[in-house]
Amino acid sequence: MSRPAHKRPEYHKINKDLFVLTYGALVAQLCKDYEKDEDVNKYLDKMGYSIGTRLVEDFLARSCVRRCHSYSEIIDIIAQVAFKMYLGTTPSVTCHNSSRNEFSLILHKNPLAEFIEELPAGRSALCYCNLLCGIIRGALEMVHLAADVTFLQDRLKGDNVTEIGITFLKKVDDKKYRRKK
Amino acid sequence: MGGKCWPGARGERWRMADAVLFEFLHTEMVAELWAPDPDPGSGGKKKSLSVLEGLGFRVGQALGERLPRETLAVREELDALKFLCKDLWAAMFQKHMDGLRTNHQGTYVLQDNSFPLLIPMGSGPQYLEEAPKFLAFTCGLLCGALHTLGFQSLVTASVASLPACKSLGVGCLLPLNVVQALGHPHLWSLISAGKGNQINKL
Repeated sequence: MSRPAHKRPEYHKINKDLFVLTYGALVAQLCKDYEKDEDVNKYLDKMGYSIGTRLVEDFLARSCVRRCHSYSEIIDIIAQVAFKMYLGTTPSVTCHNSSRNEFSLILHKNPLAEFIEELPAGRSALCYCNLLCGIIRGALEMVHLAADVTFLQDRLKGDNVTEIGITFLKKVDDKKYRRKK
Repeated sequence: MGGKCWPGARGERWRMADAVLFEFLHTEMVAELWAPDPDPGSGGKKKSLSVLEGLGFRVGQALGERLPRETLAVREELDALKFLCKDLWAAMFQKHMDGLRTNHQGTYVLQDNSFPLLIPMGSGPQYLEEAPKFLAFTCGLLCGALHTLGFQSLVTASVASLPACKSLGVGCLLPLNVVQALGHPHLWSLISAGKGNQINKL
């Protein structure tokens, strides 16, 4: 019995490539439309934010994640569930400070830049994967978690790893959480 | 609360998670790239269409290079079109095209009765005016994939949600304005492959 066509393993790969290649074509188009890297970065972040505000609904529907009670728990879910679900990779997590509101995701594998060896000539300030920052920020904001999300390191810029920094801007209100239980 | 989520329970709209990312990105590109007009001299609308088609073309070319190995043997025009309807569509949208028709003179009509990039718009006529924006990228993609397979083509698309027209015969390629009425198509892709037939845009 032959396997149904849409279940063949290589089709899954092509489907992932579709997103990565589409993203690459988009970045190329934006570099053509805008002279400044800063403007391209801003545009990618804006598009990502819009995607994130809607993607979080899809994520919550799929994952059955319950309410989180700490920032580190939220970061673990982003790294171990969300990234795995949508990008097929699991970043490492580090915490930067004692008040535990500054974290980093270390991407050992960056699927968005799978086909990119280096940044285009004259685009040294381009954050190629800035869409990811917008997606994370938009998704978190929809669940009332304001955060700054930026690339701290980027392999495409010569760093050893790709690192996304996430800083939560509000302190957790423990009383409020306790009351809602 | 905390019961299990059954993936199948959401019906046909439940798609692979990574497919969702592409759909959201596509929607955002339509929203953002339709508006900017880097070359205002020419008609703004046409230019925006070209940008999305151009993006799709590049993606289609690259996807075409990632063909399953057996499809590298595609030599006939019809085989290339069948590949698009089955293999490429299955890889992109996890389903086959619903129909492929041809006049055997280089013109093909590919039909998808539930084109995934249009499904969130609902089934009424209220969004019919917006629908072409969501087809431009895919037209370019089909054109790019054909280019990689060695065929030059012109790809256009139209959307209709008219009731079925039962008097139409099988296997007959009809004038465009009548073909639209067949079934409940969300997308008609018209491809003039190889022979350079020119199709008037709607």
